[in-house]
Amino acid sequence: MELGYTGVAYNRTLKGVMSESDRCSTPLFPLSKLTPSSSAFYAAVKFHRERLNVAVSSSFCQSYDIVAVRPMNQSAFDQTCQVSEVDMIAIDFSEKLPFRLKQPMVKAALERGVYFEITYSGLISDAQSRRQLISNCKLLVDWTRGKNLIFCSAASSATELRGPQDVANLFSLLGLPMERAKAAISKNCRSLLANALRKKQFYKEAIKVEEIPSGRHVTAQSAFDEWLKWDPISSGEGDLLLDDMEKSFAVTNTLTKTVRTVNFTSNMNGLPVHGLQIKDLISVDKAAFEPPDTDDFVPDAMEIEEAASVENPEEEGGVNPLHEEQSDLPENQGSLSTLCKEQGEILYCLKAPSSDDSAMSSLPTYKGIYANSEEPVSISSKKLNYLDNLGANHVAPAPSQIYGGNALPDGGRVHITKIETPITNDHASKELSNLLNKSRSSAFELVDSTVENQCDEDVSAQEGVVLDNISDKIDTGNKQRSFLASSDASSQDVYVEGEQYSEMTHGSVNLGDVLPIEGFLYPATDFNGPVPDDVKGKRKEIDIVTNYQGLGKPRAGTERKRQNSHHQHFLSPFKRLLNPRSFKRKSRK
Amino acid sequence: MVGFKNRYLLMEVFVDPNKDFSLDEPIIITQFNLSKAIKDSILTNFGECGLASSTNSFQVKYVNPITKICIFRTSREEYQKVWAAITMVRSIGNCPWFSTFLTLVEVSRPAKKAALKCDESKFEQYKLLAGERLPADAHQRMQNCVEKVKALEH
Repeated sequence: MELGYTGVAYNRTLKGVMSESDRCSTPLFPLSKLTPSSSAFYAAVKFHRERLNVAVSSSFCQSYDIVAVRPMNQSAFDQTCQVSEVDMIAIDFSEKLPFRLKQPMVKAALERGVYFEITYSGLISDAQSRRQLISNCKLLVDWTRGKNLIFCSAASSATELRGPQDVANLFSLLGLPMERAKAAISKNCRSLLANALRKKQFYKEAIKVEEIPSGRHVTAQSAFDEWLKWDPISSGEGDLLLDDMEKSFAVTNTLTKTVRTVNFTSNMNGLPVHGLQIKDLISVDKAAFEPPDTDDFVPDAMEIEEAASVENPEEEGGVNPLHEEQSDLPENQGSLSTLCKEQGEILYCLKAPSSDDSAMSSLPTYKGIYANSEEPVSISSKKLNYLDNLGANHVAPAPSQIYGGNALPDGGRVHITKIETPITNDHASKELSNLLNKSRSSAFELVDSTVENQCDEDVSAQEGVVLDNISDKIDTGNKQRSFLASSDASSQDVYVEGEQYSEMTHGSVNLGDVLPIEGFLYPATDFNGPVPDDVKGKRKEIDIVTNYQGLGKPRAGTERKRQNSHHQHFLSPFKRLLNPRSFKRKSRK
Repeated sequence: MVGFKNRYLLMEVFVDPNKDFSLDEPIIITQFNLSKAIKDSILTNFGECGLASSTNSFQVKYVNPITKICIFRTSREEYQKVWAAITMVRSIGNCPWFSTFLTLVEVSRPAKKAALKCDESKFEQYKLLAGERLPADAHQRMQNCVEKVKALEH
């Protein structure tokens, strides 16, 4: 974060045949201190990626934001380029490639909107891998010319990270023009995320509709401002806003009601590990984000929870997972509530998910209602109790407010695309879990847990509670995702293969494209880049208008077309320069 | 007209990010060891020719050991290579380190301004982190460094 990135992608590698037990667990922990060095705005977004090998099933995809494939042989590579439904192809270039890159394949992949990922930690680490990397990916860089390329660091420690401009410069050595290189670490990442979200959330031409909670007194101006700041890719209340963070650190141990801070300091030590592994339980307690205080994303996130979503998982979902989860509830609730009491600082608490029936029944009633946390609109009794509990806990310590929308994520959704639901039938059993499992990155994943330590001594390093946020919402839009929050957020978790992940929620979904719904999952290959190795630099805030447009037109094709036209515009001035004839050369630097 | 065109690279250096931040730095960055490390990196990555062509105008203009801000001057033709080489430096002496790019300017005055600004903000952070452990002479050293920046040519 100090280097100026605004997003973090956390990598989870799965190898071999994926089974139902592989879930996505994303431990997050907050940055205890950030030094705003170069970028003005920090938002940590949590992504997951899987590296897969052979197509197994698609139900895992939905619990992750991005699905990446690492092909291990020629046929797998061909298949991924041409057929498979993944967001990204990641090839480890620092070793000898087991297959050849073929230009028609690469071209086909580009046309389909699949991104290629190049990891740059090989350039930094040692000479051998550097050589291999440069020679291998020079081909790719030449063919793609920076289009659909993403640079990531597969850093195994904090020393292997580099700032975004540094990375861009490194790749300009490979012959990529500087502009393209910079785009590859910023714009491409963002558009990849947008595409991925779109694929998961929407089906064809669906539009997401937001509701403004009626309970909030927002002036027209402020509402608009909120929208402008709305970032569809961000994880919602997982976002750390710089101002908030600075304030929170300034006040470190003093919690005052007037301070609207995002306190990520939850003493993880106190949190039982399993207590955080709430599948589905949660909806994040938006304690710090009160509507009048909004200048952060969270309220927007909340609004968006009510947005339409394509799938109506709760309608079709099997009841079974839900029941399981609910049984887990009491203990989790207990643990969390005690924790909340103790800490007094935790702004994120887990709420019980609403039950199946209630969710469905709440749907009609919930529309347009932005209930207060106390209102038991679509809540099961458990949830109610829990909320009360939370409410009681949080009154004293911090200005906590549980967003109604937050609390009732399920109900909040306006399902516009009900017609599309037939798609979801396949994954009925998973749907519910999808619903319920939503992990919100309330904390930020540090590059390395030790970096945290470095950053701050006063504020204890925390691992945020990752909450499966029921509220769906915007951001990662992956309602389907459920992440296990394990308190031990460090990279150790990642290393363990076959670790229990939280349950995958499967979204039936949506494809932004015309392509079939099922994402192919290839069983993962090795673990790579344990620690949040993917740090994407995104400095731009998405213009809200374009956002809506982007969402409204989930066709990746159109977007690609736009990109293509950009591409051509971009090329034409260069063509003149490259022309050896005696044209007047523009002095272009 | 000036024949030589230079580029000034302003960078921030991180030494050993894995350790707990402490005021006792394992190594003091000086102009000398910085330039040695970078030249080694150019040598391994770009070879003898690369080193030769960049050494001509490569100079470490300013280093602030407290805030770890550095200004390098390179020629306009070689700045990308030098920048890449700096990025690829993994350790200085025995300490792992890495650097972050801040700005790239063409004349030294904006570089100095930027350096001053960065210095100040980093120093504030440093003070925050250090708390009461701030050594007494830290302010004095900062002052010296600031003077040095201002005294840079042009």
